[in-house]
Amino acid sequence: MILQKQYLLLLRTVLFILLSFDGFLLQAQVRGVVQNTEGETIAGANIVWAGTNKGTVSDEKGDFLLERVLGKTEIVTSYVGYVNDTLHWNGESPVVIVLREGILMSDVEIASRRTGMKLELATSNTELIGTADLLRFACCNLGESFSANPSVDVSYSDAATGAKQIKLLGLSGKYVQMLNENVPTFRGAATPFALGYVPGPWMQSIQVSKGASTVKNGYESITGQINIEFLKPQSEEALGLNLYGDSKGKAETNMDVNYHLNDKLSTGLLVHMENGFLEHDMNHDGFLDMPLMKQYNILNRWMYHTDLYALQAIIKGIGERRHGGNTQTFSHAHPDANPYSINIGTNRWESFVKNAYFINPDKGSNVALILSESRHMQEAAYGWKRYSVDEFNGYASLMYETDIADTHSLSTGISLNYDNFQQNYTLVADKPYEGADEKERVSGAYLQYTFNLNDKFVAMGGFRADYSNLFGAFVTPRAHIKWAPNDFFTLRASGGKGYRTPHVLAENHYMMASSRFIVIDEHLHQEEAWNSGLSSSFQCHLFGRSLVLNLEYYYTHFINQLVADLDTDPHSVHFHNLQGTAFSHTLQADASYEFSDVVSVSAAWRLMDARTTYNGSLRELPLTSHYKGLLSGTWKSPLELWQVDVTLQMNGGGRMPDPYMLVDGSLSWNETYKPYQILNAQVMRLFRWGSIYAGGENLTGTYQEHSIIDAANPWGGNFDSTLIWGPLEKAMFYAGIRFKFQH
Amino acid sequence: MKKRLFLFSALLAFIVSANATIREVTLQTDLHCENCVKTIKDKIKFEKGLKKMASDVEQKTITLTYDDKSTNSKVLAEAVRKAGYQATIIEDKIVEKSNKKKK
Repeated sequence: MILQKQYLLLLRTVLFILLSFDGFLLQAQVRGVVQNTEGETIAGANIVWAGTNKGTVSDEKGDFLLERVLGKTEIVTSYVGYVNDTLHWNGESPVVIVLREGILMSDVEIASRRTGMKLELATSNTELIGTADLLRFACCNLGESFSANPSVDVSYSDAATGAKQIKLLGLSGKYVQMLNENVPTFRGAATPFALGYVPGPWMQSIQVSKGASTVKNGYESITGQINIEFLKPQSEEALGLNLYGDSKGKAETNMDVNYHLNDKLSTGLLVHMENGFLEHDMNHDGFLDMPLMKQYNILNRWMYHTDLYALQAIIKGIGERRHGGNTQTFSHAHPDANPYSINIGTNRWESFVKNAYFINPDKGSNVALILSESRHMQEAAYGWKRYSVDEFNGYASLMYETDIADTHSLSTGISLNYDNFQQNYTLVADKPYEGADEKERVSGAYLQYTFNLNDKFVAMGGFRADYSNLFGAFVTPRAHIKWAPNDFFTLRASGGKGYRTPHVLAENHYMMASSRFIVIDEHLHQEEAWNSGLSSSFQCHLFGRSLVLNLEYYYTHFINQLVADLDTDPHSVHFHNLQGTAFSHTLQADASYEFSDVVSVSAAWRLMDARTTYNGSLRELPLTSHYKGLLSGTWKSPLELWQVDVTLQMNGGGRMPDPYMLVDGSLSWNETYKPYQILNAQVMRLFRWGSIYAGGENLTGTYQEHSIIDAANPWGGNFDSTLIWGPLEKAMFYAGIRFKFQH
Repeated sequence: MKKRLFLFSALLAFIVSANATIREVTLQTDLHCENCVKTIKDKIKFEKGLKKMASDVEQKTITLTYDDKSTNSKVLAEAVRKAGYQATIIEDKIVEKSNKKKK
């Protein structure tokens, strides 16, 4: 007996010595840092050896020193609101622990660690426009935040309302699902003006995912998703102020403040006011180049969390008035003429509540309930044409997610959506105030399974079934694969279906800023399309600096599309279901490289081929460029006190809607438009209290001079301000100042 | 009189600045990653007189180039400590002594 004990003691001593030679024991502590998926350090995270209560807590810098415990190699890190992380420690030091946020704050698969613009760990092809990117240019609102992004194109819908629209994969932005903190938003009547409803200084980041996205957020994304995240109330308490003015005669004020009531509850308030007060008519066509706009925008958000429960709530409201049409100068010069005027007034408020409860943080099991509602009231007058809408939307979604085993996880949920449009319009002079009510109730359920092998191979398959009182039952399958065999190369593939309910007038009433007859077929079906894509990302080091190369291809095929035919009759626009084929091919290559500590450059090139069948013949979409090139660079002074940003956009030419012959034999407008460039630049100087910035947009001054057809006769039969392919104004200069007061 | 006063103070400022010395102080810190370097840089970059910052993550040192008329190594070391890191002066040397016209 005693011999056995002595033998065991000898054995343990020998092992001890052996292990110490192994180097393991030479390090008495594990040094490391705890971060979230955005690279921000986490203070107060709990770090223990698995199966014990021996551990430590990360300090205010996220750093920790963990005393070694013999025989233990699994480190478990936990922090409220995040999924517990288990790390197998193989002796490396220091160690970086990355915690993934739970279901409440972001999609489980959207982790981060970005290379260039891409979210490296995300399963779907996602680009991140972060705070630093938003500061590079004026970025007054969402519509102006994509000027240096190669994937999203932004253009004016028409020359009169100031409404901007985006294009993704060569197709209209309506096929992109807009999300706010992963809650669907800006649908229906908000679509034409949504890009002006989100002030730039309010945003923390924008995530652009291309291709079919997860089924969790519904069936409405066909070409991709854009998720907007606002400044978080739980970040450091601060008061921010941003004052802006530009040569177009617009002044803006933004304020953000957040306050921590206690360590569980924080609140934030965001305020925005803008006023465009100067009339411009650079091409002297008697029309305002840009409508005069006043907007008031306010957002209040709350964040509450305990160990196992998190709540997020947002309530926001917008009041906006736009006035366009003939200028005052024109009206005074033509006292007998009836001035053509466009007035759009909007009042909108929306709110949502997200609750998440962690049932079992070790297995990532959590349940979440999202409730949201919005009310959008708009009155639009275009000359004598009228459109008014009162839209109510209510949405509820209940989701449950859990890890089943090491590599398998499951997500499932049910949702309800209710849309109620009450509309009145006057399209034809002798038929005033026609009514059109649309009500749709959709209930659905989804199931999504993910297989994740160490983030090196991820396969995600989702399936959704929904039932609409208008369109019956329909299913949405989606699949994503990510293969990242090493640190240099990542391949992603995605495929799936998407649907959307078309609301012709609510989404296209800017077409009333023309003399075209608006013809809307009855029995319009849901828009329905398949999207598939392949994207590859390659990262290497060139002369010791990081070089990232991306190459991707997407194909979208429509089963049904709401076709807006501007060609068959140049004096009307005919909205009808697709009769024939409609598709889009997109090929994009982009690269980013840091030349030195102070200079980084990115370049991109995209080819697009988007076609639809108009009146029996397959033709390219009008007002859509064939290609887009982007060159963007940043220079920073050694201490990063000065920053200069420059971006050059090269937009390819395209076709115009078919013109008609004028009495003198000439065409009403050119059949095609030529390629054009847009150059933006900004200089910024940082101070302890904030920064000062000044810059210019469209410095080369290329613009679409004859943007309005027959501007001299807005009440006549040829007036059309909706054929827009390029910028509406020459160079614009701006300057602003930012203050940040921290607690 | 005003003009003469202005010329005199301009000359004085010129002489003073022309006599400014660029120095380099190397500090031993407890930083352990690139992120720490970024944190320190973000917190001290507004220090008056600071011109450049270099770092060596392996040695855990940072080298600050500064103008000794506007600041000194003690102030800079204190700024690094305020950023949350230890800082001890290892070396403080002259890089460029200028009696000439400043460019």
